[in-house]
Amino acid sequence: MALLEIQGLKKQFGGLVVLDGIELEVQQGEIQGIIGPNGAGKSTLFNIINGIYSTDAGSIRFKNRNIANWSVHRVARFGIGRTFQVARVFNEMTVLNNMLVPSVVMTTSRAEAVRRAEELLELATLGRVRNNLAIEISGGQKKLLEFVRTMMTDPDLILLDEPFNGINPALIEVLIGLVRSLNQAGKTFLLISHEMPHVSQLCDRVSVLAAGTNIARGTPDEVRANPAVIAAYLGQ
Amino acid sequence: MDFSLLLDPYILTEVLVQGFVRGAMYALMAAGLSLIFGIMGVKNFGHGELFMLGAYAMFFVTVVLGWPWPVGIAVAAVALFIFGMLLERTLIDTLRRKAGRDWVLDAFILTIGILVVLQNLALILFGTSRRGVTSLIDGVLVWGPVIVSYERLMILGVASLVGLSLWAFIRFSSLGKAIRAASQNPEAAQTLGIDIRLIYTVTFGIGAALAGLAGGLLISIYPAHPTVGFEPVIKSLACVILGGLGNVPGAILAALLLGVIEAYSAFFMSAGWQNVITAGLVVLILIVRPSGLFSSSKVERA
Amino acid sequence: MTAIPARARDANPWRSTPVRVLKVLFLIGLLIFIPPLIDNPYITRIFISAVMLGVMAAIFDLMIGYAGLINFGYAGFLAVGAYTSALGTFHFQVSPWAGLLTGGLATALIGLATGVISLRLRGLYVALLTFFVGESIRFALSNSPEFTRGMLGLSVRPLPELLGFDFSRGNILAYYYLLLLLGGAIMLLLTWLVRSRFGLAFEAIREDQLATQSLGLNTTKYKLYNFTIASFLAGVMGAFYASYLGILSPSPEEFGVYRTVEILTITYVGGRGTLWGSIFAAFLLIGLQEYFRGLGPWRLVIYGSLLIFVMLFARRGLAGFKKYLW
Repeated sequence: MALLEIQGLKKQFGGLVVLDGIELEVQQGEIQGIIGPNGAGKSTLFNIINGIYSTDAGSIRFKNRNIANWSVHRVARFGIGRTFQVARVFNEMTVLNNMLVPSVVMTTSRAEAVRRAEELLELATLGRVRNNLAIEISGGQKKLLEFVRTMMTDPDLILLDEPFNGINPALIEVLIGLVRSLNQAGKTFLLISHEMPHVSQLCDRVSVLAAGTNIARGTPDEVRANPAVIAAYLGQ
Repeated sequence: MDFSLLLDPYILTEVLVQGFVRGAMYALMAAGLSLIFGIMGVKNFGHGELFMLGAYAMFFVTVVLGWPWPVGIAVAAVALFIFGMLLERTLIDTLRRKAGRDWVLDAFILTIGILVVLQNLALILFGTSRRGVTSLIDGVLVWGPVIVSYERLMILGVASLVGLSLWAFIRFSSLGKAIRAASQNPEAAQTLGIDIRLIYTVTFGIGAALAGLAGGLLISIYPAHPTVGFEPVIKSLACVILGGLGNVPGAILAALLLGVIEAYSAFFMSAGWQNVITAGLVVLILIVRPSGLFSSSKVERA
Repeated sequence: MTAIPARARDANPWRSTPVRVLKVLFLIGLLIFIPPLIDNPYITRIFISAVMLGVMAAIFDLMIGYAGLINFGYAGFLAVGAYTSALGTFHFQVSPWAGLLTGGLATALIGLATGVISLRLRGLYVALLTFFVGESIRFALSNSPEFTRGMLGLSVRPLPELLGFDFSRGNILAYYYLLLLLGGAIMLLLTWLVRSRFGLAFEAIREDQLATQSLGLNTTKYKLYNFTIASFLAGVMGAFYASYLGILSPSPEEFGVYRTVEILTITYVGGRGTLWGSIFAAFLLIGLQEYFRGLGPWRLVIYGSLLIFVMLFARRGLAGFKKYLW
């Protein structure tokens, strides 16, 4: 049984069909990549899973429940964490307080939450800036902060939207290391990226979206050799 | 209350005519506010004070100088156009560059500051006495059961003219097109070489000019005094919400509708309750249809 | 990579903990002892105005400064508290002491209702809706003279004697100390609230609602908490105001947009998101107003200019100068 299983997902904005029958399944414990040309509907897919947009048709089964059209906070509490294409950190709050926001709705004690937050910040090499305001740290650090902040909710599945965008090579290594070690600890990842080298490095499987539908799926090498994928990228 | 009266043809005509005239006044006040909101996203709470300045300009030209009233209206509009641009460039533009993301809400607070300063400067300079004229044009039109003064008809005419010219300007002139582009997508407009700062300054100027024009035109009904802007700003805010924030034609339609509703309620209730009705209506619309009566798009919700 | 070092602990002894405690005690001492020592009703009334408006502004700050919610009908909410208490006494012989509570509860109810209908909207829409709610309240009060006496003014009985303290109107020091207790309790409650988990939720909502929801928080719920708690406290302050003032009328200066603007200015001058900044700003602004009383409308020009100045050049308000003054 897949952890996440999406079937026949459709979404239109006005007359524009953005997703046209998406099929996707993510197995417990894998790292799956989603690639595709601009406008393929990748971010829209995340926004629908996350509960920001409603669906027009189709189902999203997560842990055996259909979570389509749930509210954003309910999806989050049911075990799906996410990051955004442009990191959304709480600018005028300290890095540590950014980390503590999820603990508001969790049963852990404050001390326990602080301990866990500091541990994750160390792993993300953000320990030294924990008392800085989030607005003061670099763009790459913001992306890392957003990522470890979502880990504070202890999600089963983490959606990463363009995690390597605008972040320097040293921090990319930190990020990849973090994803790997969390994956070994049992976390499942679904990530959007068009940095194919990093996708190959991290992902077990890759799904390719183009013009709102799946056009291919397989290991990174299989996908790269697939003529339909090449056509989709060249065709744009 | 006898509801059968509501449908009595005499009363209906009378109320409709009065309502349309009243609505035209509101439309004139609301157009500038709606324009500024639509283009810049700024809710100008100091709009009523611009109206007040227009009324004082009108009084100065027509009564102190004794020039004809169309000159007065023109002077009020031009003076407020310049004043509005100055205000935008010195204060609002500065705020926009400092406040970043939240500048729209902050700009609203800033316009409150402008309101307090202008209102009290007027109090210092002109005192509390009401300075108006009894009427710009004399005479009444009697047409069957309907009695309307020529002055009110003139207001209806000028309001329509202004509405049409505003629409034509935004629709057809090159500056109008630039303004529309800027309101739809500021970043894209900028890459096309449109000077956003200039657009904002001019837009605020035009909005202020409309307020000034309204203040001048309506001087016989709202004589110039320091707090004269309060009622106009509430009514125009109401119209702007009812019509959909930033939707200028919607605001004008809403103004006419509000005028008729108020004329009706004035007929059946004491005058004070009009304001309750207006405010209640606005609250109701914000609850059930926050994008306004005449809009197909949904307001971005949290 | 250029990491910014964590802020070094301030080594300045002027800011060490014991000195801070002494500074706070000194200020509290000033509040307690200056009015009786000067023993001039005029000065005591200035202190009452400053503390009262300062606490009202701090409550306003809970909404705007912490959760980014602007209640632009705030004065209407104060009016609900004031009138509920006063009308309860006037028509139904409810004790004005209970009125402090009923005023708060009635306002909390209005706040909850307004919250339910408005908090799914954003920024300016909340401001617009609350503005019209506030004005509706005021219009309704002034248009029901048979019940509220409208603009004629409703006279409010002074608080009855309690624990041997005399609250007749002549004894304004009693009102002052009651206000210090009430206001102090409210300020402590607010401080506790913003430092608790709720405070984190409020700030996150102010910064980014979607990100907050994505972390599992029901933002609407927390905004409702914020709005309802603030309304309750506003209602309590409104009820106190009614008992202290002795006569209520729903004029724009008293319970309309001018009062809202006055309180909002205090909050902004004090610095959004600081709570205690409002108290300092209230003393500054009320003090300035009294000092320039002879100037008539000029003092309001100064007031407005100060608001403009803060918005443009001192965006953190007095809190921005904290390091020089505190």
